[in-house]
Amino acid sequence: MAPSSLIWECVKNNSSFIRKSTNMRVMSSEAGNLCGLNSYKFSGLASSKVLDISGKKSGAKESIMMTTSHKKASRHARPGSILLSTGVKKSSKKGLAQISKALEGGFYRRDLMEVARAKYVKVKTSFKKKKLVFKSRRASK
Amino acid sequence: MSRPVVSVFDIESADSVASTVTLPAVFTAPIRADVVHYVHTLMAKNKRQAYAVSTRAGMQTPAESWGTGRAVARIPRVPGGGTSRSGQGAFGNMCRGGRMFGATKIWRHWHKKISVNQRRYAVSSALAASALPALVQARGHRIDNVPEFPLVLSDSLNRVAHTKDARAVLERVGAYDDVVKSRDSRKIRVGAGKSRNRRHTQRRGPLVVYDVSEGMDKAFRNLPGVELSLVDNLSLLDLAPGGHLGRFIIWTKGAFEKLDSIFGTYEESAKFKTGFNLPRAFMTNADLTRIINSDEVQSVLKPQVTGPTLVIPKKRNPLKNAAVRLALNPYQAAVVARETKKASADKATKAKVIAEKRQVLKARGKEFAGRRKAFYKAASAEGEIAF
Repeated sequence: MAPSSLIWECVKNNSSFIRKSTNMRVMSSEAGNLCGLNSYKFSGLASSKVLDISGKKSGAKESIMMTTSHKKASRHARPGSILLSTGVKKSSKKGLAQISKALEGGFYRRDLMEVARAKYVKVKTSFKKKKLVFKSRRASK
Repeated sequence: MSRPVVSVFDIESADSVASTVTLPAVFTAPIRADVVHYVHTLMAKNKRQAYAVSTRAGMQTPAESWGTGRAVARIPRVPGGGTSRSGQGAFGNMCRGGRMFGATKIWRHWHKKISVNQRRYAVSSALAASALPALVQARGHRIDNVPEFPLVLSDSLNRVAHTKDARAVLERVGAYDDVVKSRDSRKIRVGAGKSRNRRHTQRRGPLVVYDVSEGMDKAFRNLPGVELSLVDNLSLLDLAPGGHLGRFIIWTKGAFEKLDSIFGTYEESAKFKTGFNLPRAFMTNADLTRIINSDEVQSVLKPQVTGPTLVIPKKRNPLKNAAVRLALNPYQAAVVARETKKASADKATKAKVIAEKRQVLKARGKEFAGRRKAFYKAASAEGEIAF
C-alpha cells in the first residue's frame, strides 16, 4: 500500500475525478471526499483514513451516510471494500453525537471534526422539503 | 519489503479463489510518475511517420530578382511574359506560391532514443502503479466490482476461445464495467483526424496480460477497449497510456508468476533482462505522516513555541457601537441622558400640542357639522330644487 503522500503527488494534477470551473477552487468527485475539493486533506483517493458525510436516497427514503475507510490495510487491495458506509441518525442531537463518537472516540480524522459536523447539518437541511408559499394578490389589499 | 499474497480467481466465478501467489517484487518498485511521463513522451514518438512538404515545392520557377532601379521590391520574380504569373514574386515564404519558411524535412529527428534502464524503470513503476486501486480509479477505470488488486485469473483463461465466453469471464470478475465504459465512449474524433483514417476515439479498457494463449487472444480482441499483451513484452505505452499511471490490468496466473523472473526481485537480478535490477526507492518509508508522528522524531523535537496569545479584537465602530463610544468618550453618557430627557419632555409637550390641536379641530368639526345640518334643514324647507 503506497503512502498517501505518494498517491497524492500522482493524483493531484491528473485524475479523472477532477472538476474545474472558473472562479472556483478545483473540485474532485471521488467517493469519500468530504468537501468535494481536490485537496490532500479531503482526498478520498490519497488517504488511508477517508471520511465523508453524504446524503443517500434509496427510493423515497433519504438517509445520511458516513463513509469511512476500512481499518484493515489488507482491504485496501479490494476496491469493493475500501470504503464502508454506515448510517447516521437523522435527529441532530444523536447524529452529531454519533459523528463525534466515531471521530473523537475512535481517534479517526479528528482534524475533520468541525467540517463533518457542519456537513451533517447541511445534509439534513437539504432533506427539508421547500414549501412554496403563494401570496394571493388579494391578500395585500 | 513484505510481499503480500494475491488471490488467483477462478474464471468460472469471482467468489472462488483457485490459489494464491506471492506478489511479484515489481509491484513494490518505486512509483515515479516523473520518470514514466518522461519516458512516455519519448516513447510515444517512436511510431511516428515522417511528413514533409515536397523538396521542390515553391521552387519550380527560374525566378530571378530584377534588382534595384525598377520601382519594385527586390524579391525574385518569375520571368517571361504572356501570363499573369510573369513578374509575380517567387521563392520567398511571403510570396504567393512561394516555398514555406523552414520547409519541413523528412530527416527530422522523429524517433527518440531512451536508455534501456530508463525504459525498464518506467515499466516497473507503471506496473507498481497498476496494483494500486486508487491510481487505477483516478485514471478513470471502472473497477468498483473487481474483487482484488492486482487481478489475477487462473490459467484456464488461456483456453477461452470465444468472445462471448471472454465477455462472460469479464462480467463474472467485475471487469466488464470498464469494457462498457470504453464502448460507450466511442465517438467521432474531433478535428481533421476523422478524415485521415482516425475516425473514432474511445477510452481504453482493461489490458489482459498472458504468457501463453490457447485461443484467448482471439477471444478478447474484439471486446471494445480490451487490449492484450504478452507478459514478455510489456510496453509503457500500454501500461501508462498518455503518460498516466494506473492502467487496469488483468493477469493470468502464468503471466503473473513469470514477472519475478522477467523483472527480478530485490534479492536477485532479472533473468530475462541482463544486468537489470529492480529500481530502489530513495526513501524506504515514504509515509511522511508516520515519520513525523513517530517516536524517534517526536522525542527529539523542541517543545512547541506558542506565539504570544495576543488576540486582536475585532474593530467596532464607535460611531455606531454605543458601548465603544462610551468607553472612548465618558461624557457621552451625560449627553445621552440630556437628550433622552429633552426628547421625552419634547414628547410630552408635543403630545400636549397635538392634543390641543385635536381639540380645536374636533370643536370645529362639530361646529361645521351643525352648520351643515342647519343649512340642509333650511334648504329642504324651501322645497325641491328644479333645474
